[in-house]
Amino acid sequence: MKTSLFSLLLCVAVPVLAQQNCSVQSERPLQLLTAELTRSIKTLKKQNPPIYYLAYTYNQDEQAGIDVQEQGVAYRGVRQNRTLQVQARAGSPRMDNTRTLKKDRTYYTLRAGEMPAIEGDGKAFTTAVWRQTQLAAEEAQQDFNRVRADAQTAANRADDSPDFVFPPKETFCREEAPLSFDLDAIEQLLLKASTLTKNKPFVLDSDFAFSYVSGSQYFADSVGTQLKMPTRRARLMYSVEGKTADGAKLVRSQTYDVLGPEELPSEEKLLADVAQSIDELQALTRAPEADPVTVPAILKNRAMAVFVHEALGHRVEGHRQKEDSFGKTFTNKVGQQVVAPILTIVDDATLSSFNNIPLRGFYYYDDEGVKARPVTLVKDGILQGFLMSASPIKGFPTSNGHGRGETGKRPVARMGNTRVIASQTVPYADLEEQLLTEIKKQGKPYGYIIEDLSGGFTLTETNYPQTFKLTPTLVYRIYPDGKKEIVRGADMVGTPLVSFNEIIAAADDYAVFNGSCGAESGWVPVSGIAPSVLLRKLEIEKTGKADSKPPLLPPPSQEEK
Amino acid sequence: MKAWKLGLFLLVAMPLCGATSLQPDYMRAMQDEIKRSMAKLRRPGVEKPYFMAYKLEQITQEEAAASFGALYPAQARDSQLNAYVWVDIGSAQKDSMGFAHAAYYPPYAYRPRGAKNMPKSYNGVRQALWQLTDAAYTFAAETYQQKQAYERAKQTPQKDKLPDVLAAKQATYTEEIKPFAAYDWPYLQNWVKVQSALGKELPFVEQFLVQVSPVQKDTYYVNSRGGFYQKSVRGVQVQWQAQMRSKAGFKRKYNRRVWLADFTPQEAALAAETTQRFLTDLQAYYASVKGENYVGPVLLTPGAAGPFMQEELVKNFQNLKGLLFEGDEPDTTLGKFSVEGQRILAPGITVWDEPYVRARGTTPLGGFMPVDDEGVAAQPLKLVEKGRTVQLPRTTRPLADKKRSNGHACATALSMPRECLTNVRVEPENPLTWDTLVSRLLARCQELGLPYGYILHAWPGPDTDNQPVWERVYMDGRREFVHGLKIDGLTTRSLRDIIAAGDEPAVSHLDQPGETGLPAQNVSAPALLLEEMELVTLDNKPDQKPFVKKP
Repeated sequence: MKTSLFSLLLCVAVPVLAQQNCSVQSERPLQLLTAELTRSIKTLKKQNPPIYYLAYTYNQDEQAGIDVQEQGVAYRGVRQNRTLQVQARAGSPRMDNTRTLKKDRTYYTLRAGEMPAIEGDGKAFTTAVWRQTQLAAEEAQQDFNRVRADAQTAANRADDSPDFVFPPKETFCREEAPLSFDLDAIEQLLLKASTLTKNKPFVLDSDFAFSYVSGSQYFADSVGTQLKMPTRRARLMYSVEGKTADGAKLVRSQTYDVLGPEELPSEEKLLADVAQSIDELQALTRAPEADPVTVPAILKNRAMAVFVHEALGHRVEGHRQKEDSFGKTFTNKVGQQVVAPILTIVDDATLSSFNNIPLRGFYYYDDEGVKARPVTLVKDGILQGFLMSASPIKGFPTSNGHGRGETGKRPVARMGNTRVIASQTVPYADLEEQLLTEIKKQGKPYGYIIEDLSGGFTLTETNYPQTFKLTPTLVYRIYPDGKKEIVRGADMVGTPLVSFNEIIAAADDYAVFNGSCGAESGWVPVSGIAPSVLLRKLEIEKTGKADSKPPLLPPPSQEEK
Repeated sequence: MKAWKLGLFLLVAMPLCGATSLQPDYMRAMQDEIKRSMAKLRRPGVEKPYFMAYKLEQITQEEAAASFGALYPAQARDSQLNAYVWVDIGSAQKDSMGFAHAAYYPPYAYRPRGAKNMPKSYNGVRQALWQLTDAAYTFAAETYQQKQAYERAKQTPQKDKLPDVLAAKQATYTEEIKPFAAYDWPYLQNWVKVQSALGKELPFVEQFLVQVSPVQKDTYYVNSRGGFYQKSVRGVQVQWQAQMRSKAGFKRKYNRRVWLADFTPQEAALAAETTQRFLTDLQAYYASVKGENYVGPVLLTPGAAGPFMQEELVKNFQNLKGLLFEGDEPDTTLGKFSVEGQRILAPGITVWDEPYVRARGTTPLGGFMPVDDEGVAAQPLKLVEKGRTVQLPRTTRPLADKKRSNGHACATALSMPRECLTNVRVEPENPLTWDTLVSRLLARCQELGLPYGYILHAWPGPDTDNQPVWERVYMDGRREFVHGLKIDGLTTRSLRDIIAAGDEPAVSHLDQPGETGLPAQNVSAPALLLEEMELVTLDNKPDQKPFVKKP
């Protein structure tokens, strides 16, 4: 066992120093947005109830996609996107329209719409901004009236912190060269990869896709913040799916997040990966089904990243400490040990890449105009704090740059790049040795290695058990003699307070899981970085199955043989 | 009847010309997979398929849009291929269709298994059809059992027992599927910019959107009885949308839409005239006064008469064969005009359905249907003459009179094939000019002692987006637009209240649920004068003024 090489980690994780390379004063969208915002807010503040805060988020980008199935193109398109989102806050920071209602449904939607181009005097654009603002202000007032009525009759709130804290005024301008890909070449690559599924009767479905978004995001608010930030994401992915006679759905998939054509996998690599996934799928169709069991297990690095995201990450989001509808697992545990002492967990949205892999959770400023910064959530196993949006909670009065949401959804506290750092690590091979030792020590017939997973979810509301569930897609049983056997239908389950303290060792094989996370404020891109870890025990339960059999006839391509 | 003979000739004379088709692979994939499935799809203990049908729809669309002279993001060409599969098991005497489990809303009983955005290749189409067929077969097997159990539990007199299906001769139709026309994109963009900039002249208009959308919908159909068709309909939709606040303070949305065969400079000029008329109308709507309760004659413009006829007449000629339904919820789409000789309309008006017609003047018709969705040649129908029903649309599922199909089965993305109309034409025996109709309206008002009558310019839509547009006409010729009125108690009885009709028909395109592309149903109708309509006022209050002045 050796101590963690922090210097090595710093070498491969690339934090971005927020260097500006343009001027907000010369950005036409910001000029028009700010002018309209300044004109509106004066009058809006005088309304009853007043609109005391206003923010515009304007996205201008190009979105492209190619989707290939069965050696044919299902979709290929490039579209220009221009959307404006308006955040209007009615009432006062103490109590406003965004408060979660106790006796009624809370809506997280925001006014957002497509925008005309900025041409000539920009009047068409400005008129559209004015109209969206009016509608957003009307909706905010209506919501505030519901909040006011709710506050009069609902039970007291355990945390009566204000609904909003004004973010500091910021100015930032950065632009980057637009992403450029040879879509014809990528289409040919996907078509070629798709041919590998031919004559594979166990592959019932397959999908090979590429997409990118490239452009800029502009933000202006009534505090005076003006931001221009690049939007750049590109992804190549594939999935192959099968089904067993007992209805179990099987999936193998792979994603490649890139920022340029040179980062795309070579044809050789992609075809090799697809071939391996197809082999794994075939092995899964023949694999025995897992039984519910509690045994020692290794969570491989990417699986560990998702585990941390689901089991801890969502539970340290600020608003979940405030609203009484949530389980508040960690609310009163700051300063206490909540995970194994070898782990430190930081959410750092300023990291743009790790091991040359672009991180999807990277951003300069959050969706409330607050600068991104690293936030240490857990240090040496001890809880330090929470992910904060502009909605304060007891003991945490300001945002730490984690207010996030998709266009059309009100931001709440969300993760960015959640990074697990182990203070003591071993080479992965040693971790497997430790697993075998643990199996023998506990007298268990076997242990598990969770190699890969597709995602998971966690329940944080008090109406439900405070559990999480992860859905592995590739799992091995490992026997005391070291023999490995692929199994299917194993889901990981557990409760956060217990599971994290079962981690007893970590490897030095840090890896990235790039994904999308869905919650109240919609889907946001996120990343997790973690090493493989050994758990003293992990609970496995059976995966749900479909109620229908696989198709009666073999696939058409197989029939022709 | 000349046109019908020509249409029939085309149907039987045209061979499947796969060689000229843009996508011959689609038809081949459909035929190969249906052949394989009919031969081999058999689950132990379950009947084998008795009938199967596949339909592919490829919809290609572009869109140029602008507001107040500024372009919206360009929506470049997008082509989507969708598939629908129907599988029927059992026999002609007793099959698996026409029954709705309690969990299903009856009109959507036996909705096809569908897939969107399919890969555009032989392999892709076959793969998708293979999976959809398997799912449809499983569903058919379940429904067959449920239907039999339902029938055992219900008592049906022997004389009422009909076979589920009466065989009909299968037909084929194939036309060349041409590539989506290359439109002059800068020209379209410039046109919408110029037209939408005209909205700047009206200060009370908060948004003025002008859109031009060329659309092509290619349909490929194959069934297990040998029927097939391959057809393409094209058109250009031009749409105007205005959001405004009237002088009285009401937020209002007004839409106008026309379909054109193409967008040549001549057609663009015609569309530009519509922009001018729409803007003039918006000014009139801005100044509209609040209406009062009214019972009396109403004159429907051709634009309002089409949707009126669709609502009260066309809908009642559709879905004539009732479904077996084990739930309590009635099938609200069931047509009422299911008997020949039934008196339904004022005398002096003849109504046709002409599925073989592709266009009326410059207007393309999405309802062009040479062969129906059961593979039967679609026949033209004289639906109503001298006020009485003459011919009914029929499918292979017989009505009580046991007559055979006349090729009027339409299967949508949401239903099994049911009776339908596509290109409806309303033809008066004694058409009158518009001025004469207005005079007749006022004369009737005078007889009734009413100070004014109403003209309805736009039919109220199912949502508030489509505002009805009422115009009051006084005896002295004075006119004013009126807001805040709605039609009360409209029934099929109103069809018998038509006392006169105009001489200039217009085509109304009517969107069907689940349909995309050029709407597959339209009504060509002239202005109609109705003896009586009841209008009641809406008890709504003006909206608050904008907090901040329009820039």
